[in-house]
Amino acid sequence: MARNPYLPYPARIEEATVENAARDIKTFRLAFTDPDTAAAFRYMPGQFAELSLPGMGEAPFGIASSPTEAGYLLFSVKRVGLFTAELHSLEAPASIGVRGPMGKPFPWERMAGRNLVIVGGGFAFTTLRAAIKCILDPANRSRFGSVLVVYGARTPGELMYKKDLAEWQARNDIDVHLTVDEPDATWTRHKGVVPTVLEGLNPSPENALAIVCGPPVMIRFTLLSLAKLGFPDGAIVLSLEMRMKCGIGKCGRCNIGGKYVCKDGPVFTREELKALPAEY
Amino acid sequence: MIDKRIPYTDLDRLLDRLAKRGAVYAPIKDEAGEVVLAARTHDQPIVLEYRNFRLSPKALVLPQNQTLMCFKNGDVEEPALSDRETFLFGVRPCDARAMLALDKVFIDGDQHDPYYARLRAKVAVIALACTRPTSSCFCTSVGSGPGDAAGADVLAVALDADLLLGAETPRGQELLSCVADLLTDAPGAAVKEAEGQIRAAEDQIAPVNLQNIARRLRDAYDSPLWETASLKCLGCGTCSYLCPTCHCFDITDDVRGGTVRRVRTWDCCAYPLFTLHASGHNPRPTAKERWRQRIMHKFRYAAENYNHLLCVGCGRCIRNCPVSMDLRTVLKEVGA
Repeated sequence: MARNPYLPYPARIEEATVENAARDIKTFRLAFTDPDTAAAFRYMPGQFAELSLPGMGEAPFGIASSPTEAGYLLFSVKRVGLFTAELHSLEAPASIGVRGPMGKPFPWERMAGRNLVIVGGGFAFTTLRAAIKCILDPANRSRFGSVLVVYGARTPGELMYKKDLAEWQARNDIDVHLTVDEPDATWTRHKGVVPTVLEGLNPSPENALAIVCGPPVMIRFTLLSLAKLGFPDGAIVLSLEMRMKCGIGKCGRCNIGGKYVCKDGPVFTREELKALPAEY
Repeated sequence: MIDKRIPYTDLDRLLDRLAKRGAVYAPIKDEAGEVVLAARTHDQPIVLEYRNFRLSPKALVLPQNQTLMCFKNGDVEEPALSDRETFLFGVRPCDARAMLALDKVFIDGDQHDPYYARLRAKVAVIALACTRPTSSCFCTSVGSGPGDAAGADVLAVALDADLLLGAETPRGQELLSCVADLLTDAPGAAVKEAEGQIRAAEDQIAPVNLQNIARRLRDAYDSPLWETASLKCLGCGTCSYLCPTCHCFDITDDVRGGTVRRVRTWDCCAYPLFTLHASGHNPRPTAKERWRQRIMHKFRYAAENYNHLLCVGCGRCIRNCPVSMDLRTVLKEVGA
């Protein structure tokens, strides 16, 4: 008998870290209470999970950790509504439920052997962080071509994962470009919006795949830039968000046309999205 | 295949036999005189001549409020379920067929829904061929009809003197075999009469052209029709709640004292909150997008995903709409 997909796995918050200057994004490190669960919860970057707080309900979040980071899961959550406000009030070792993993991950089979252009903005960088961690793992790195990362935020204080960013910048097998709209006095990196920086870097579409996550306005202009650079729609990978409840394609609210973002997505190529109505 | 008969005088004995195995639901009159599907009692006669119930039997497999689990003192408990059978006696073929549509969503897909599956597994359907279609019925246009056996374990036809019965599934065969002593073979003339009765009912139903409806809807996504068709929609959700195939649900937590119940509740795509993001963004901001979603889901997305329409033509949404919206109008106009 298959496990009841509505039952959350029990877990604990091991650590809650403030990610940004506005202090409204926190990264929660969770560990499953039961070691068997930890072994059974197999996921790949790009997938998400429903976090559960009894009394508050559930909400879906992209998994920000990579399966190569064994022993825990990371979720970076912006405080926006009731659920996230409650979550932000919790500290280690509070209990929490995790349901998942859900949805389709980034297209790892297609990504193998290709040059990767990873473009992110704001707090949508979560599953991209997971992807980069996975790619850079010593056991995986040789399976991919070059890795170019463009990550932008409004201000330097709004960039997440600063420790990871510093680590990646010190490596020579990944090219990380950070940009902000409003630099401060100490800022030495790019200034300006993500699509402009991306165009300036002029990555070749040859044998490349672009993965883009960010706010709608960044997505819109990044897609124009990628088209200008010659990236075909099938080589552009996006991840969508929708209001969700069940996470398994039953409750009927996260569909775009006939596709459910929870189970057919959240990862789609631009080509796949073009075949769907623009209702998202 | 209809091949058995039972005189009406023996019907109670048949139902008593079923009642020994489980709960029997049958058409009876409520206090207001309206025929409803309700738990059978001995003091309420069963009604076989009726226009279809206002409420479909959906709630017996997908309850309007269903506890999925309880959280107490850090533990999670799943509610226990009785394993007694549920017999739906005398439901119309459209409602029997609706169970098949729900099965496509909850059981046949890539992810099985245990709550639905457990309730559904207990249900045996003894459908009653329809003799009283209404002006809002259009079952014959969605591949069904007054004598449709899809979704029925046993199909019955009410003649003047006898009830004719035929098993449609192995479960139906088992049911009839356990009441075999009450049944006799139906004479050929009676079977002919039953067929004639079904044809007569079919003739009362006005067809709606649903040829290639999925393709027509695909081409009509951006049609101005949606704007005008949805103008008077109040977004009240009556259509969804009464629909035997509408299955969209919400999951919320109900807190009472130290116990939290996680509850699944019927929801409806006509409600603005249905798709509202925490950010305030809503991909279906107006009645136009929401009404389009309702029609597209039933007649196009379900056809594409399950090869089955999420509509059985029962007409409840038409009969009960407070502002007389009629989805047949859209279905006729779209791509016509």
